[in-house]
Amino acid sequence: MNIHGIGTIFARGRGIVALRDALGQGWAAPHQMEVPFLDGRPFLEYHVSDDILTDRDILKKLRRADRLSKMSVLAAHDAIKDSCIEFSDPSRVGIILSTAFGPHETTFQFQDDILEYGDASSSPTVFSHSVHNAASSYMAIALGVRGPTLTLTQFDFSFHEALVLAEIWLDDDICDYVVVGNADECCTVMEYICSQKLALPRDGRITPFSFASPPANIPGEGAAIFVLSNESHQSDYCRISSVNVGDSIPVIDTPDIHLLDAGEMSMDDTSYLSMTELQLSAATESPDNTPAGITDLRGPSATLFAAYSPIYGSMMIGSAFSLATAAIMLKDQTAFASPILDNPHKIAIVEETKPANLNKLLCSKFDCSGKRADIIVSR
Amino acid sequence: MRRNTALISGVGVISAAGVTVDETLECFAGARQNTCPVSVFETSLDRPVFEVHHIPKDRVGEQMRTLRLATHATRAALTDAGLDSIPPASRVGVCLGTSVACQLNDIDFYGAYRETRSSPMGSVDRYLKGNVAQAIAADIGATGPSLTVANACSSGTDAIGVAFSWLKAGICDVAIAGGADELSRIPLCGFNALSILSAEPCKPFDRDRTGLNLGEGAGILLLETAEHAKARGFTTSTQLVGYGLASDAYHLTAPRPDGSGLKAAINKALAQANIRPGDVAFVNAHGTATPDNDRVEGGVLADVFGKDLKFLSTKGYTGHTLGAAGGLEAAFIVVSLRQGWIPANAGFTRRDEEIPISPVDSQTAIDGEYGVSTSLAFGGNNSALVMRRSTELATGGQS
Repeated sequence: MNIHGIGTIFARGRGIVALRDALGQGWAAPHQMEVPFLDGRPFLEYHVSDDILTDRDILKKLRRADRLSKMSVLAAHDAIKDSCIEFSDPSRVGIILSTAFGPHETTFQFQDDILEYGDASSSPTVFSHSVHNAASSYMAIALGVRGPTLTLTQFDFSFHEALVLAEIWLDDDICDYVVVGNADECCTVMEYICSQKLALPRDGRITPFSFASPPANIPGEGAAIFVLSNESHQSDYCRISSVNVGDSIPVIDTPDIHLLDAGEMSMDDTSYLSMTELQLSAATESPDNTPAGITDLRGPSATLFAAYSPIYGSMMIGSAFSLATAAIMLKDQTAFASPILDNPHKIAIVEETKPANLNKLLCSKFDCSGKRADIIVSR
Repeated sequence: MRRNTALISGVGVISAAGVTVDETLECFAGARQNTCPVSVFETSLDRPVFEVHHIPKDRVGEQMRTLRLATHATRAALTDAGLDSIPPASRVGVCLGTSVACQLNDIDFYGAYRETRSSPMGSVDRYLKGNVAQAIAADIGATGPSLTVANACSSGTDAIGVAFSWLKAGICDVAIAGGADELSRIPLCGFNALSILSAEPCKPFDRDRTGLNLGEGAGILLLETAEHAKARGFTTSTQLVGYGLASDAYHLTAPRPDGSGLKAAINKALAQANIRPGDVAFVNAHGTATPDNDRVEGGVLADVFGKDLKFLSTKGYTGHTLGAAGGLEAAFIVVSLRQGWIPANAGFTRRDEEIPISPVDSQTAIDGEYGVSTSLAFGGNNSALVMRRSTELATGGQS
């Protein structure tokens, strides 16, 4: 299936141009959020400010919508606009939105009602916006899409499974187009949870190539939405050649650049190190020397690595931003420098932004248990 | 290899109607509505609910009620399918729907945070370990795809539909699919705020219906490719043959008045099953007992299937179990196809003149191979499943 259009919202702006610009400009410090739980210290976060979410034309029907819904609708709208495709039959368009935490700001707002006014005096509007599928439903309403609409929620790999399902819908002729993507928000309570559960570097720098346990995380938020189909258009970004999730992922030929979804709110990034070491050894030794039981971790050999989480922040849904980055690189034929170059394990990384002849990129994500997911995209 | 059908090799249910299929059938036969006041949490709301009073203890989910419900139903489905455990070489996927378990809606945790700007992480840890599909996959040792669907009240139906897609596409050999949800104070307050909770046992499709009762439970199907079942020497006559999903694109909480989204979902499911409306023996409707839902759904059922359709809502036995509803109702269809009868639509006594058809008001024999389940959800999601019991395939096993 092919990527026709992309819409993104993240801390540094809205639209694919904002992401392209950010990738070209490199790292920027996160926002300093005032929080009530750090004794006056700021909480560092890649926060989507309200002015990014201001669009009277698109949001006029969503005045009461929650923040996650607004991010999702705006990103979806931008993805469709970016694709230059007009949906002639809305019943043949599907929506798949995945989220790790859903509209939790609204969930807590509803709990505020209960705690302040009692069980019998909560707000129906807040409740209806607190459910996980409010965002995808608003996407369907705002875009007029009448096909299948699904919300998936998983802490790991939900975006990858969403892509697998989108491919099935297209191949089974259930849809002509699928609008698929991820969205997550980070409210104050989530900031508190992050402060308790994650290693938060005080200098604000995510160092994805440290492959640490726990890794440095700076929470982010946003939405990345794609318009996909099996059609080919001149303006397409790239083709998604395959999506694999699991323990027995086939090894592919060497990609031009291997994007690692490290520093994306995992508790343990050491599997990335295992993979890069195995790739290095695979390049110099025979496959027979690979330790038993971990051949499934072995990626392609002699590869240049990159990781872009310092651009948009640590998110469990960061794989969607990683794919958007890979798609821009293929379309623009540009290799973007990894925004943070700390490289204690001395792997080969993209250090400089420059034109490049790119044909195939690989995006890999590991969960804490070492399970891996790959997305292969090609020109 | 693309397939058109999946075998339904096992079902597992747990709800206020019963913690086993046999108990549930007894409840159905007696047309009992096991409502009670809320006892699993404190609330000032005096609304009847359908609680599960005894959840058998299982290995995982000791702390999260939804996981305990899902685990029990999953193990029952495995047993029903003649499996003590997952065969080692099998590719097994898990796709489950929920609405409560995917939210961090622990009021104690949040209340403590509000008061002190600090709260123990125990609730968060349970939440992070409690993604229902991931937890069940880990419990049974499934290494295939796993997904939790959060499509509100159609979550269970859509989870079965997604798993069906996996099997048809050859992504896995076996899939655990359905839904699970526990009673929770958050949706109780939310549905009360929406003024759609009834103060009495619910009356789906009745003229005097006054709203829904919340319930809890889990309904799981074990889906399997014919090749996998054959390889392990298992036969069954029940199959999943169609799934349709369509969006209203209309309103966050109200169904589209003309029912066109639901109609589209049903027609997609029938087309996928390659059958006509007249081939359908009965429908287990969403039938929440809210005025809007039942009026729109009843109109669509009459329009698509005709006025002689045999249909019911089993929510009069289980309450509205939200993310579990689609899983339970699909499991009940399989059971009805096996048994050859559907129960009375509990709570129904008076016909609503605004609804062109009426549900069955007594235990009714069914004559035909196909049963349909419909689900409508917040956000305008509409889903339908078509299940079949083929007399040609009834050669033993769990048929």
